[in-house]
Amino acid sequence: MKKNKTESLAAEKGLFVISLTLNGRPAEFRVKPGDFLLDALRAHGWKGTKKGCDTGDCGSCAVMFNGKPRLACMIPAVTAHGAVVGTIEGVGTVDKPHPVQEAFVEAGAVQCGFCIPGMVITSKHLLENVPDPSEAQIKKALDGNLCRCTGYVKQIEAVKIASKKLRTKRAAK
Amino acid sequence: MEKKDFKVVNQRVDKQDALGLACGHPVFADDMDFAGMLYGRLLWSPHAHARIKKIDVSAAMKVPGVKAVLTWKDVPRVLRTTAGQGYPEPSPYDTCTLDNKVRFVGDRVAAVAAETPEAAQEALGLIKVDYEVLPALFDPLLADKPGAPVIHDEPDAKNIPDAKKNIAAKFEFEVKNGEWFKDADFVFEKTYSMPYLQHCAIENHTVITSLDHHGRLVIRTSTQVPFHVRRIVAQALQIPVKKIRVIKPRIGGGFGSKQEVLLEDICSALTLKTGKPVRIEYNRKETFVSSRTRHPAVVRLKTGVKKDGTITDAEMDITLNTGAYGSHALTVMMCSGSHTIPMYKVANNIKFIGKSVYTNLPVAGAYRGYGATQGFFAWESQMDIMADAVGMDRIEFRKRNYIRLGEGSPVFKAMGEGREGVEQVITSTGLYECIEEGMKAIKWKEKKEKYRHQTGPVRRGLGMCGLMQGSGIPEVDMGCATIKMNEDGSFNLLMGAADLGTGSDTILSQIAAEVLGVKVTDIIAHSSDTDITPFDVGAYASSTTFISGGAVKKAAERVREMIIEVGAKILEKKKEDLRLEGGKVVARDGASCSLSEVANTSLYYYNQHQITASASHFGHTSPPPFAAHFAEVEVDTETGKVRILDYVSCVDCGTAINPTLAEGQNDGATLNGIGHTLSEEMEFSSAGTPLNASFRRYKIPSTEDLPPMKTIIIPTFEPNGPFGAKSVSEIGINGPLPAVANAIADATGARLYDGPFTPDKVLRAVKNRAS
Amino acid sequence: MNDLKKCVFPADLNSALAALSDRKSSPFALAGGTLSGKNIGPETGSLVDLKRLPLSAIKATASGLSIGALATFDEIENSKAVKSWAGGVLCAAAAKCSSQLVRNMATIGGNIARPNAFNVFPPLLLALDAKVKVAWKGGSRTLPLAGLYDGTLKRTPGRDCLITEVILPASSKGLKCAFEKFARTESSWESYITLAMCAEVKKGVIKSARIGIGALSAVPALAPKAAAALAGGSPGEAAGKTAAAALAGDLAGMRISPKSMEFKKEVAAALLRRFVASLA
Repeated sequence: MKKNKTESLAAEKGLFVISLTLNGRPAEFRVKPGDFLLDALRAHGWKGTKKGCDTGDCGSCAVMFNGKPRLACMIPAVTAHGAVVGTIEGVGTVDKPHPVQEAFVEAGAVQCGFCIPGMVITSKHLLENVPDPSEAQIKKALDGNLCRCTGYVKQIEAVKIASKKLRTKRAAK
Repeated sequence: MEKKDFKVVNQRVDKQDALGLACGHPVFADDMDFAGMLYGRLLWSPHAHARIKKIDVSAAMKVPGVKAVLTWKDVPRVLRTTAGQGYPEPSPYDTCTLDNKVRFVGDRVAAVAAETPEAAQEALGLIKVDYEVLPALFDPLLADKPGAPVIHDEPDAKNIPDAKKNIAAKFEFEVKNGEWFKDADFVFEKTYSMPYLQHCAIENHTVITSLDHHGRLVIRTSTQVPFHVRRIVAQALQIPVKKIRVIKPRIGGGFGSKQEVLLEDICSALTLKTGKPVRIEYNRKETFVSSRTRHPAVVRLKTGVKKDGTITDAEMDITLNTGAYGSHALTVMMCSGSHTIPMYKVANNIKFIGKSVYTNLPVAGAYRGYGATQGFFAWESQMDIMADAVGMDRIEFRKRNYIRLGEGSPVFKAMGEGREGVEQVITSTGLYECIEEGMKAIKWKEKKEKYRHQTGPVRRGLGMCGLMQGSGIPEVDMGCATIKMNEDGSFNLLMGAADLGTGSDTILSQIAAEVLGVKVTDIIAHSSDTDITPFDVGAYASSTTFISGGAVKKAAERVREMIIEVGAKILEKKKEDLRLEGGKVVARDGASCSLSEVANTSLYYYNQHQITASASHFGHTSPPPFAAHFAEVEVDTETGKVRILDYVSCVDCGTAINPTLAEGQNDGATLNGIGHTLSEEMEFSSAGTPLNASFRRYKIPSTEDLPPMKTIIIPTFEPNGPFGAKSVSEIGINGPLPAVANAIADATGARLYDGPFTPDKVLRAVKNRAS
Repeated sequence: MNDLKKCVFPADLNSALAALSDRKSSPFALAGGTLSGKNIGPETGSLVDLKRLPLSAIKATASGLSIGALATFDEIENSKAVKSWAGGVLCAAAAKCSSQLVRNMATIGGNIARPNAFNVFPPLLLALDAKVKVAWKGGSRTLPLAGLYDGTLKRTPGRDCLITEVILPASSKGLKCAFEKFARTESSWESYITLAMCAEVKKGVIKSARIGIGALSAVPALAPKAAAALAGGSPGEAAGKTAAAALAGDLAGMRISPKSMEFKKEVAAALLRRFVASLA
């Protein structure tokens, strides 16, 4: 989402007030100058996005940001002003899970679960752009989401299962 | 009891919490907000070895928002261990909450609690410390030599075998049977080493402590050992156990790094001082440096072998670097022998010489594999060396020498984990099937033939290894479970057992459901709350399935008895004619009543009582799981780069209570082992400063590093385990180092003795071999 | 970044440059943020967020391949224009950067703005003889990539000027290239050595070559001896060996730590030999 007007935000009483679209709805965050989007999300109650390293290396903070999966821990919160952000909470719920989430459960790809929100965000984006990815494509797309529990074997399987589920869903429409 | 049609056990049941986790439910330690919570931060030592002569916190206290600054003067000086082990812990009592001496770069100096993380950080920078810098010790092989600095010179430390020589633990064991090596045709003495390695659980250590309305301390912590946390915090802060409640939320991985009472004491101290909730969350660097690591080790293995393939004698000498404090120093060292030597039939003499020494480096502790990782690198590499010397096929040589069903080993009794072990024989083993299936799956014979004649700088080869581990610590590890029945025929299952992401809540529910004849979704599992769930040692030593599972099974059987008692009254049948099936009490003639009817009868109608039972269980033996790992590698002999082309691990864990979860455990352990083998190691400067304490520089395998890798579960039936189960979670991590070392040797003739096998080391080994 | 007072979101280049010229506000320009995001010092009073600037276009023109400074690694890797340039070597290099999530954010401009041993594009752009366009309030300049690091450009990208474009010369389109990042793991940031090898081959003769070396120092270097050894030769094993020997001379001339130097020389030699053999 690119606006064609130059904008400027000033801090008031040490806080920036930013407006963004979060999980499809307008949201307003008060953020500290030193905050990153990850801190801001969690401080405002969006706990699904996790902090594993804070250096952009583990992917557990992956969120949708202006159309691509990006690392929330590397985005200064104030620069999220005007952005379109999607977190794991917006993907699906226990009552209405997204096929990708169902697939991760079915495949046995969830052990401790800490890396899973990031994995789901990345996998969902992959499948929306490459509906039938090869194993090599899956591995490449997920290479920024670290997991120490599963060895990735069942997670890659989960993406394949999700691809089938989504294909069935599309065919049914 | 033979294998039969299990209805719930051995089924691929969905992990209970998986969907919630996939939806981002806020269930981890840091996902809960506490009103008025303060942020705790710790000040770390910049020196590897120093005394704190003076510490002045006055400037720090003045920072707006700072509510407490603690130094060694503000907390009780109680020397104890941080190791999450049963009491009395077999580790040195050499650590206190805050000390007036620092022993590694990253050791604790002071603690701050403030209203914002920025204020806490600012306060840390204003704490003035006067250090008397002392000479530091970094080489474990020099630790016990004259002139080495004494790291633990405090008079009140306990349980250190020889503090003056920096020996945190030592153990020797010998089976003597004639003159050493007199029957051997070949004798090999080789030294194998492994560096500092870190668990890298994706969730950093996190604790939130608070006081409840009764002034009790409530500790919400990412821990594998909630009950040990309670006891050790009580000990450290000199408050009664009854004043403490420990709650384990969902954990983002542990692998042993959270089998430790690391932050709970200091965080509690800050809460007690301020009266407020306090959160301490390690950042990734702190987790690398100031939590726990694997014990770096040097193993000298001297073995004799006869031309007919008999291993005649074995001397295993291991020196572990336990870092600045002795957590798990004795037990990891002992497991390096107790979980490896019994694997092998040694005809004459066996000797184990082990010591763990202090150095001024990060503290080693429990890490998946727990000594067996270090031990098997040595043993299974040496098996290939011996096989080649006597001209036997490397797999046939192993089959000739591996322990079999019904056999025992003098090592089982002599060496346990921190104390004497127990006599035992192998009561279940699928090791030979693991070997056969693995050979088939990786196409061993076909590829060996294909690779017999290779040219060019890129060479391929195959290697394998056999492994064992343990299933809990016999006569020591205990778990308890309580089950109670609800109106609708569902059950609450309360267990102390800690699910660290392994899915133990699910598999323990499966065990209960199997006994009670219900669906696993009729079991409501609640674990690891010291006020509500009964005792369990926690998740370590591969004990949850075997020990806690045993407790759950017993408790479920007692509840079954009580249900049948009521059912007999309802159906007017004899108890012996009744069984539980499909959510009902069913008689031999087909008459039945629902569990819900039983529950309502017992709660409301007649002879009112709550159907509930508790049961404890501990093992008298520790039946080992077995595994065989197979690796196919490609070595570029001009650059030293090693690529794993195919990797198969076959594991015998008895009955896999949940095959999906068992496979997942083994996949994860194996890839972790592959990381140890090809790339992972912590690096330090000459002053003991960590150089690569970040995920940017210490790389764990990503999906792009995953080779074609497969886990095959080989079912057996362990009579001492619940429904035939053994453990599975650790064994996989021990395979890659020896399997890949053997494959590289097969491909190039060059053998690596020093992990990880980075390209520069491989190239050097290849060139040395050629010359 | 705790004293940040202002954040500007310029929608066009002039607004961005105006924001950067407001020295009183201590501005700092941020593109993808994967390198500098965590290093924004306390002296920064104003953040200039470049993400809205229309500077990510990639197009082949008469003078060569123009890549907007804000093009991300992911966009570069998937660009048809880049795939068809110099055998797609920029795609190969982009794919070697860190991880997909980083590639979705990191920009080519950010990757060349400040010297860093593990940056992937500098040695390759050096080998391709790329030029860089830099703009500031009231002016701009196009200069060779090396000019960013050797003091030629008396300005600091991100603080008082902006890199707007990377231009690969038209002559680089038909080059035969290989990019090798020799590291411990696939997603390692660091590597033992990174080589960008480019050769102009006509009628079975290597007319010229350029070899860029990365990972050994913060600033990328060329290997002139190896390049000279290759010029005029015919691709094959012999040429490879000669070039590799010359490369050792280039490496010896670089001021690098002796630690594992022998190993790096061997690897570089092997990689160069194989590249030269592949040109046949």
